[in-house]
Amino acid sequence: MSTNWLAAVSFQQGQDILHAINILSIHRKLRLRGITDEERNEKANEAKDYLTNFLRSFGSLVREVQKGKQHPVTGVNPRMNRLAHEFVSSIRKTKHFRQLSSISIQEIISLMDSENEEDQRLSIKCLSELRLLIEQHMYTDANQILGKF
Amino acid sequence: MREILKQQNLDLLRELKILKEWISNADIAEEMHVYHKAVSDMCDHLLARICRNLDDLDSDADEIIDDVRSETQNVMILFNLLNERLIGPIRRFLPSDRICLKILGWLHNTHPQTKSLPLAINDGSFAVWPMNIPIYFMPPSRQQGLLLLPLFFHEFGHVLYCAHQQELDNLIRDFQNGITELLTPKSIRDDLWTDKETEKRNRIVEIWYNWMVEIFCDAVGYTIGGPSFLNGFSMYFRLRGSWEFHMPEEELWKSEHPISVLRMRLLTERARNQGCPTEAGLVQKDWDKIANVLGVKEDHYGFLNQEFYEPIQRTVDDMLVETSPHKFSGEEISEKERNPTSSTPVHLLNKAWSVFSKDPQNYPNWERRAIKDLLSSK
Repeated sequence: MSTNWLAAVSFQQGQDILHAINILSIHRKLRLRGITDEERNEKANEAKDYLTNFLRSFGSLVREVQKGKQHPVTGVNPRMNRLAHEFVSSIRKTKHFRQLSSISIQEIISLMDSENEEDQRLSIKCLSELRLLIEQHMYTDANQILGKF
Repeated sequence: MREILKQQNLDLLRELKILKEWISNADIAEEMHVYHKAVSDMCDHLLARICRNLDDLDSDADEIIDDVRSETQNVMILFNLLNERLIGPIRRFLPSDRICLKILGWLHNTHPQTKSLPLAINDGSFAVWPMNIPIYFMPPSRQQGLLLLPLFFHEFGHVLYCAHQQELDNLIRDFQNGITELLTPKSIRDDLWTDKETEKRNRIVEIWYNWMVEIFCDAVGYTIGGPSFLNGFSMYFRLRGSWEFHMPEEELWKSEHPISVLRMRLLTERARNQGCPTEAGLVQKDWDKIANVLGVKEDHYGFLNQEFYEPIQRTVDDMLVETSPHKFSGEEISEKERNPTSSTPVHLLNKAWSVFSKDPQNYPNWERRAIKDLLSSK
């Protein structure tokens, strides 16, 4: 009875988040360039809704983790708990996560909703940093279920 | 970078076409049709994403290259999952896979949230990957017999957990908050040592998340399979060594499952209170005998105390109400002969244990006939 189920669930969630970020990011960048990219319109809206939901629950988990080791994080699966810890520790190292370290998750959600071009550009930068973090996290899950070469 | 990505996507396209051909030429049993369709749909989904990547690479927008890089990487990883894990049950299909598929198919059909889920069986240690397409793993020779098949009911618990994750996470949160209180001393000093102790307590509380999921899945196993699960579980764990009875403290910190002797105790308690006191007593006696021979002394190093038992069982009861798995019936655990057209697999598995317990020597002959009947029934 192995615990790979946790890695499998986390792997799938990571895949879904990354796919949503990629769709939304490409769509927004093309639109900012003046390309309508209508084919991706519906998927981009779905991706935005998906990411908004994810960021809402992830944001409250991050706030729990930020309380420090004196408070247990409860009701959360260990892989998601790990991701929140990675997020908190990564944004302290501002080199690769400059945007995420200067903005709250709630603000990212608002930026994603905004029609303002500057906000959209900033939201894309934030999502791109988040993507880097989730790619690293998912790499561990993929190695656990698929093995290393 | 653009050229590298084009090359990679074209290579994926070529590989994906090979898989698609295998899928369309596969010779599989009826029990695999839903899975076959799900895997075929996944191929089409990946194909669409590869074509999209190639179109995006044909545009002159340099700013999307890193997005396409990430997208290509994800498609590659998903393709590996498809190629290394999902295609196997189709490409290497064996008629004997039907034993597990029939039982798992019945199991998924018993629950509204898993009814339409495709599923597959693969070789490996007992496990499940509860993804969009759940895959159940079982050691090869065990797939050909009936005695350990009830362990699938535990794995099904993980699938149910994912289907009800939010509600069940909330119940586990309440449980964890409860044990935080139980573990916290009445008076606390304000110094570095106390901080370390608090961190240790919190770590124990967090470890209990996984442990509660496993204990819940054990309870799902018992609720569905009754004594067949209890016996299968006991047989699988009881002679694996002293670590099933006692784990060094440093190992407990890393363990993603509660120690087996605790799982067994919780299961026998459940069985004793829910219709199977005799079986519970017999299994508990076996474990006591083995523990005695091994000379192990139970010590949970602060991960468990007596006050945990009541909240554990109460929380698991609530989780069972929330998920509502099939509950074994009196008939399914009776000695009554099984009716191949109307009886459930649970009846068959309990019957198997009954025959095996009384006459293990002649059990293989009975099992062969029972499997033949199972496979010939609709």
